Amino acid sequence: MEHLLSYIVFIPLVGAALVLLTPKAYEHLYRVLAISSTGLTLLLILFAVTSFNGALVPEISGEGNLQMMEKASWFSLKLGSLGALSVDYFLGVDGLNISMVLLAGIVLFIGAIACWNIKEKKKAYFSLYLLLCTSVLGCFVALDFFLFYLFFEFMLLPMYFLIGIWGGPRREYAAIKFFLYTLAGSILILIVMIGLYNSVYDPIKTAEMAGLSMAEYAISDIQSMVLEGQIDKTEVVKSFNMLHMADSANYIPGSLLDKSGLGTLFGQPIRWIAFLAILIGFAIKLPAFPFHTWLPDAHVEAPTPLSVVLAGILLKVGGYGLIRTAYAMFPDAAFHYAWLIGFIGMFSIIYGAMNALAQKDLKKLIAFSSVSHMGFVLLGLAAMTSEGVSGAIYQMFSHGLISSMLFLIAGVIYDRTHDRMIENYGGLAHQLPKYTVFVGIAFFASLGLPGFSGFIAELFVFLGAFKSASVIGAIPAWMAVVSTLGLVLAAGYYLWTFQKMFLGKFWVKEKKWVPALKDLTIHEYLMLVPLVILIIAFGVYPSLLLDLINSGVESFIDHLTASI
Amino acid sequence: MLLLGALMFCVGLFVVFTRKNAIMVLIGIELMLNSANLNLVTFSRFDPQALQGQIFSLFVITIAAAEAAVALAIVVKVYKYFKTSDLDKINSMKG
Amino acid sequence: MIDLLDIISPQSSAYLPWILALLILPIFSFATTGFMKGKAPYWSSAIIASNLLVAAYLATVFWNEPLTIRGNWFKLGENQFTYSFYLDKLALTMSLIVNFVALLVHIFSTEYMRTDANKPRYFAYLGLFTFSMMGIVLFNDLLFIFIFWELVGVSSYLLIGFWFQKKSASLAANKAFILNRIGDLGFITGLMILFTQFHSLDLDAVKSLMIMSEIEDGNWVVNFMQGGKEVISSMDGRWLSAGGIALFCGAVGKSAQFPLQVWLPDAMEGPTPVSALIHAATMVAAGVYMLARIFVLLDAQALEVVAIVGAVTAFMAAIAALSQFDIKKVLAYSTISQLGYMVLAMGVGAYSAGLFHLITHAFFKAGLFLSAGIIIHQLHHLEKGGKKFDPQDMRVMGGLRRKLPVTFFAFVICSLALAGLPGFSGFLSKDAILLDLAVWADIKGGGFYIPEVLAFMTVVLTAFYTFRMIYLVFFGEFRLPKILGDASLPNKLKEGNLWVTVPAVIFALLSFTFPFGFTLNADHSWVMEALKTPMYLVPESYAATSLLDVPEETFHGLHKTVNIVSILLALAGLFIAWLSYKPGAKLEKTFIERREPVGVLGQISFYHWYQNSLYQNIFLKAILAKSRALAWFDQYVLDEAVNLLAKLNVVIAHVTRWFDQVFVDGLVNLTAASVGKVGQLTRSIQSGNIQAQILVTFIFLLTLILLLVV
Repeated sequence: MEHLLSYIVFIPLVGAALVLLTPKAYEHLYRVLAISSTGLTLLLILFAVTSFNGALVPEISGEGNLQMMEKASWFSLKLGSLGALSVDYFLGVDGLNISMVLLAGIVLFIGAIACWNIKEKKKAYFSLYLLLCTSVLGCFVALDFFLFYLFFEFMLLPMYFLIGIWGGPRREYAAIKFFLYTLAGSILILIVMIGLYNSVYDPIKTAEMAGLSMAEYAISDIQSMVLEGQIDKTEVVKSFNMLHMADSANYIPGSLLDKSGLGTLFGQPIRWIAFLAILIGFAIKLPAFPFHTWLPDAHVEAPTPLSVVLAGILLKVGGYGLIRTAYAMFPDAAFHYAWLIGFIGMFSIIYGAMNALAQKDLKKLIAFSSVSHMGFVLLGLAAMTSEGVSGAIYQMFSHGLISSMLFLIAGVIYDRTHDRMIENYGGLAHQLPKYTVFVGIAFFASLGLPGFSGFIAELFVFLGAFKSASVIGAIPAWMAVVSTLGLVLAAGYYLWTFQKMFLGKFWVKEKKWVPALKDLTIHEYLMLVPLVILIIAFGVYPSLLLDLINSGVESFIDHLTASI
Repeated sequence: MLLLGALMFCVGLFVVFTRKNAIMVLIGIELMLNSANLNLVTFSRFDPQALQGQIFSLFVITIAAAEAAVALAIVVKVYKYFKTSDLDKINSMKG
Repeated sequence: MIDLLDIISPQSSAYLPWILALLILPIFSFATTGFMKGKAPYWSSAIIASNLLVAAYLATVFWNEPLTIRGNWFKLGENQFTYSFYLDKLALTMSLIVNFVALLVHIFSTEYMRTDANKPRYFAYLGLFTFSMMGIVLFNDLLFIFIFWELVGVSSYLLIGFWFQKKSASLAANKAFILNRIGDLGFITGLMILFTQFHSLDLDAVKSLMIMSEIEDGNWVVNFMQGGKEVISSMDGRWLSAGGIALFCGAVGKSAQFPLQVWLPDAMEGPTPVSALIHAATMVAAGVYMLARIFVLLDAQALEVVAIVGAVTAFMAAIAALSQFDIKKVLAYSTISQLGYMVLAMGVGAYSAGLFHLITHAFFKAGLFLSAGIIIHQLHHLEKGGKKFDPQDMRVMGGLRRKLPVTFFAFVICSLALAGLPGFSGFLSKDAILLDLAVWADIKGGGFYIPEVLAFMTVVLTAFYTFRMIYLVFFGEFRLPKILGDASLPNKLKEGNLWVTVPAVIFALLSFTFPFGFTLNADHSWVMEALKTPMYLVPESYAATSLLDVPEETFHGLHKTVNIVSILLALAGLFIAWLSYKPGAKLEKTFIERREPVGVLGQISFYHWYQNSLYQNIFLKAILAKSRALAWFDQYVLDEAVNLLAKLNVVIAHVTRWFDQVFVDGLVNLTAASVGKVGQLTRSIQSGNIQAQILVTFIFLLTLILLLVV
């Protein structure tokens, strides 16, 4: 199917428009529209995933073997002696983002089902939700930095309103904090993006501009011509293409971020500074210690479906961004800072888990467990081995599923009693046996029990992180060993919570809650059962995901090692 | 002829400046226009090849007719609105 | 050069469905039993029985010729992950034992759990347990062993916490899982080390590559091909020892070894048949089984650690068993102690002896637990309609041999095996361990005599606590009527029915020597023949001295001595127990009023060396305090810093607003105001009189023309 990715990205937007156009008298149709448009997107994504050829080895630093590519010139400007600016509408999938697209499809669909019970201002809610879907999906498939950034920033707007209007008691504070914090991060990314744009050219378009036929010249010829100054400066077409940015040969000689130029700022090469800036930008989104403090607030205040989407997919934009931009574009800096990144990852794992241990609010606990689990992503990336990076991607995928389930579960109890304090419950297993089963599954999945997807992910990260020292030497082996402590702490906070809330004698703080405590409804089963199936499927048969990402990760690792 | 033209112009100007009735002012303007026409025709004598002056005066006459129509319509409207055609009383544009 | 992919290339077999059946049947039981309501016990027992038949069939087929099956699981980067089954004598024996004990425990539980409303759930959990245990036994891949290792931990968690309305039960379940997890950190570290070195976790691959690995300049180097590409793996040689020790940490958790053993006594909160199955016969032995699987990968240093940990555990737990009141606690500490023996055996290189002890222990300890279960169950019946008491407390027992003769028979036979008296299975296996230990200590010399001393002391202690228990439970006077003041109780106490006595008696029969060969010499037992000690595969400079290299004569020379010493020590323990706890002895008479023991030694024993208090009051509290401190830090320092930053921004914003209003905007307003003033001044011209305007226009026009002309 042609333009499949465009359909995937913009169907939710069409859905949003339809919601806006539907008069208020047909209010009940909004949620149907939301579910059907995200459902259609999911179907298209499944189609895309099945037609995705995992065996094709993508060229991380170029467009070779990119699949379902869509490229159209969006706008271009001649800037005289500054060369020319060109921004493309450029979508495509390879091994690095196909899994994220799949995850986004699943989580957004489940999130849409979770929106079922929204009561107020439905029109605004559902249209904003669908808008959010478009920007998230766009973020994962956009390969033009400008377009990526556009989607990346656009995510904030619906999220801000969704938390700020439909959230809990401190929603304004949480929404503003979320917005400003993330915006601060994006500004760093923006700065680097502009720097990159000033340094990178598009060899194909440059050839066109210079009147050279691509039939006669290979890309490498053009690159050497630019390097030797045979092509006039005014004819060099600057580009936002993320894949071109990853190829160090595409940097204009002597430009700001050129590898050989290595201009310095504060005594550090600018490339390294740029890497750090982009790292911080995405680390805020991920979030990693010490940039995580917006997350507990946002999670606690966000309504259930938004918590699901936030934990399930928005955090992954941070991880994906790191892979696609920071790592692919600055492999040398990534290697230089591997120790730092690995340490932050390790520290986040333990710090998040320790914090979770001390939380009294169920949602906060889950939020901190997210911090802990996202630490694995950083650790795996820092390892710069194929096991580590696969583990990082697998962890993002699996955490997307598991944390969605955890927040749905927290939502179930909150819906009934409007209270999330762990200490206010006891022995719920007597009253809500089926719910307890699902909570047990989710908790055990999240603490990394084999048989669930989280285990596979964490195992890969550990194997990769440990192997790193002897293969590439990015991070020392002890980091992997120390990080395993996270597993014990996870077992600690989950099992104690489970024991406090569900085991023992039945007891709740307020008597009036008792009649409200009814077991799961069909609608809740509808969300939880598919997640359980997926979590187990990806835990038992990792090839489901690995076959999609393997060649991409291999190529990515080759790209990294080649540039160190 | 030129003298006649000048005289007519002065009369017109005088009418425009002194009369309080808008219609009279209009008539004064018409007078001034026609005096200009007279001048145009007169000066076309010194134009041996073509009849530019005369043709131009024809244009002016036509435009003047149109102008008179529009101006009269405005005057009627103004009268309807202000209930007077006394220009001294129509001073809502006073700053 | 060997290609890794050749070693782990898929191997199929027509018997794959049979092996899968061993896994699928129990998980099927787990999935379906929950819906069976009243029929659950029969349903799940039938499934496990058929599983036992499958295991037996496979044992007959592959006893003499091991079977390997391997298939691809997934590919990660260039590394192929496989699953593989390996059916050798060890795996077959274990699968028989697991299914056999599980079946008997199912039958026993049918009666034991008859009145429990949640029994379908109970039997379902037993299915899950059997499934995961079979996974550990059958798979020949460390990753899969780890996976099922954790799953077995979950089923143990679920079964310990089966009566979750009791807070103590749920806490005990947590404790078991978390302490096991701590051990598993080691296991996973071991996996990381082996994977980094060998790029595979398949045991066949690991073993083949381990043979080829060498120590060069203190580095552990191995050179092999992987899919045509040459791989040179090299790490510091210390990782080799560390890997062994790390893997052993897993066994420390699962087999309740020092310092993680504290979970096992607490695990007695679970139903007694569960204790028999999981916490005595099978799961806790999984650690030893795993050690046997990785035995050849352990180097001298790792083996020393194993041996020392085993000896220390055996001794500590035996001390703790001396003064307990709770019959299940005595058995639990005894289990830890016996597991210590097995681990010690593995550490000294007595592979066959250790596994032999695993097998004999599985039977006699399961028998002891089931007998204790009958006692508890029957005493529990007395609680109905009467006063509540703790049916596990030995202070309420006494003189039960007249009331429960069959149980008495089973209990005594199993106890004799536990104490290691000739004619019973425990004697054979324990003797084999002690002999190998003596030889090992002679080779090593020096401080390595300490494990030997500890092990021999444990023999005395074992005999003592075993017979103390027998005297207190079965001899003397029934103490419960005295405590409750109800003389009619003894008449109400009845022997358990066939559902419970038959399994106990079967285990008792298996605790004699004869199932393992009509001999008093362990070497002549078929088990020792079947499970031969393998050679170490680690590089020579790191390898321990194998007992296989020790000449036969050394063993023969020591054999008699060890035999006699151990029998004498056991008899000594028996004698002391008889002296102090025979009916009418002072200690026996005052036992009913006994509270916690006095004196340092008594306290140490009763509180199990205070290990629990140490963990709970110091480590756990420290961790919780630290986590609270971090949470405080997060909320009040880190988050406040962010908020402060935001507030600072707001302040700056206010300052700029003031500046903006006063200066920047002031300038704008000034301009506007001055323009306004000028307008005010000029507005008088605008009279609104059209004729005046025309006049002005005309004058200006005229002036203009004049100017132009002049």
